[in-house]
Amino acid sequence: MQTSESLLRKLSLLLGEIAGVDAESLSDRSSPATLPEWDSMANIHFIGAIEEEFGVAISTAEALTLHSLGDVARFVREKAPQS
Amino acid sequence: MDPLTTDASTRTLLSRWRAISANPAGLRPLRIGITASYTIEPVLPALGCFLADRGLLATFVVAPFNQIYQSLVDPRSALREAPLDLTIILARIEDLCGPSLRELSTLAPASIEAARAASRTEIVRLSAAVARYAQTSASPDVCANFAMTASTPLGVLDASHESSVSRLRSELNVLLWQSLASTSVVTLDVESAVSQFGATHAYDDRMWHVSRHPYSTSFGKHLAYWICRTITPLFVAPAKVIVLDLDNTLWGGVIGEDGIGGIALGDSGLGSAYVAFQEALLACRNQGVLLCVASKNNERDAFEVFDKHSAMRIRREHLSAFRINWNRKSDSITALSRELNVGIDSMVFIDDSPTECEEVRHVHPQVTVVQAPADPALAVAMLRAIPALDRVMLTSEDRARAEQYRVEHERKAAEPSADADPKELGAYLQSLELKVSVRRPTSDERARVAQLTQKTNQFNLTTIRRTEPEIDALLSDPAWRVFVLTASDRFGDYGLVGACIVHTSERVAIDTFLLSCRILGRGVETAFLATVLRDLSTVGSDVVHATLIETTKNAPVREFLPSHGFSLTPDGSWVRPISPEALGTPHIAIMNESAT
Repeated sequence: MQTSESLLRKLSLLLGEIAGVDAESLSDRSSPATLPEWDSMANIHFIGAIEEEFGVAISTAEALTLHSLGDVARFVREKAPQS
Repeated sequence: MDPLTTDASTRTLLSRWRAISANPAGLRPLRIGITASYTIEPVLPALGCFLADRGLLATFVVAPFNQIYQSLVDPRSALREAPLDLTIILARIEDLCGPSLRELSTLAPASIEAARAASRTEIVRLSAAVARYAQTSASPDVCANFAMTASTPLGVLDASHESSVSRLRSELNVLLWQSLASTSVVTLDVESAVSQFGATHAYDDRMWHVSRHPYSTSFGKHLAYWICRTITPLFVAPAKVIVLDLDNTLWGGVIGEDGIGGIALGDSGLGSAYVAFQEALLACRNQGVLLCVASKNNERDAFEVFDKHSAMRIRREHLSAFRINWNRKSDSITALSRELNVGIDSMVFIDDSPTECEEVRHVHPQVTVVQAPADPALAVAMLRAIPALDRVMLTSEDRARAEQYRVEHERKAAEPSADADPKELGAYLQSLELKVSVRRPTSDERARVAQLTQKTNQFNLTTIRRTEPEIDALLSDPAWRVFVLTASDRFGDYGLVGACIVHTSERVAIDTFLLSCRILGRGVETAFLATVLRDLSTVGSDVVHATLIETTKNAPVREFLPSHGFSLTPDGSWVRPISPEALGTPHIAIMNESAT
């Protein structure tokens, strides 16, 4: 089982590639509100990419309540503990 | 960078698209306008990547979500104001006819009829807006048809009930198709894209509720790929020739070892898979793709199969050229390219042997090399998945091309050698029984005239290139006369092989005079000029002017003016009497003297 640090790192790299930002600049508190590149289109791609990369399914309600990168990490860990 | 497939991850596609946008060197810019009844943006990075693999750099102008009519009709809309190379219109009946589709599920007979009528009205309105937009835009337009919906309210009852959504959708597709048939709008077949992918997996309602994008992440990539395959042939010339291996490609087994009775080719089992592949290849030939053979075999063994095997679908006469010998396949491909006068980059090579494929790929990186699958049942799908063969608009010349090349082959065989005495040449021309017809182009020939002005380099006085809309404009302008020439001889049709454009206001001047190279050397240019001059005698001028603009390629046309009674004037232009005296061509029958 991986530490939450390495999961957050993986998600930062993924969001970095999707939104076109430096992964180093991201933290668990990064969110669409703090990051202009994390717009609604990046959010759709991010959700699709999380499903592809981690093999988890995201419900509509969950998709609407993913507020920060920390939220995403917690949520992925619950769904796929081995991540 | 290796080409991406629809299996690429979202992460890969987005990184690649960012890299392409940052460094687009070598790609041809393509400005695409899109208006859709739903959020289309999620598919654009994948579309951009797939187009880049075909040499195109897409930039997108996306009209506001679900404002199709406004963006097509309003002269100040983003689409109407932007300079575009292409416009794509994507509407779904779920979005355009949503209330009517819901009304259907009430099952009340009166509301069913009202709902069906309202849906039809909506689609007539859509196609009218698309047709009007297409008339005003000088660039191509592509309009999506209607895919099966994610599900129907009636479920298994849907197909049997008069409120059927599926039936209504089929009717609306026919209506759209009929309304756009007389326009130049290309249909984007989203219906087939969804059906082939499977509607169950194509839609993702979560995406709809979150962002008004109806499709799943995986189908979004397929849709992007489908759009790419539909629009690329409008900007990148499709492949013209398929070069085929024989043993274990066109039939199972090795003819030199197994003999005509031992190869797999017939009505059942493996043999029927090869027959199906041959039929699919003939369908390509009908679209204008030439079929050729490059095989390491004894020519006699190979042709025994073409001529005598009862299950062969591809016959000797279907082949435009062949190289059956023991040379390297790359050499055979070079020879075929020279014989057919077709660029190496317009060739697709299909062979089951990885070694042969590698050899050709190594020598000719411009050739599209496709390894035939070990299982012949997969060969038809492989063929249809080759994007270089995609075509979305066929001129009648395209449809007849393969036959014309075959006829040309026979003509060449009958032709006397270049150093034959003039008497023999004269007898040959006489024996051709040439017939030409000169007239104004019909509306479906405008594309061919534009194509000729763009492609003809050798026998072309001025090499002035024109697009189809430009030809259109000349046809409706009384100051211009446009003529086309069609020809045939005892071997068959040449098709529409000549065009002449004359400006008739102020002074009468030949603006364009060109002939396709396949008709040269037969005196047809003289018959063409004589017929055009007879038509121009009504204009009221005694003389006709002409200009020669020399290029590096038009040497064959340089003697044309002086040898046809034109004399050079001090200002560098040429002039001759308008009456067609001394322009006789007794070996050519002119079928249509009145070109008006």
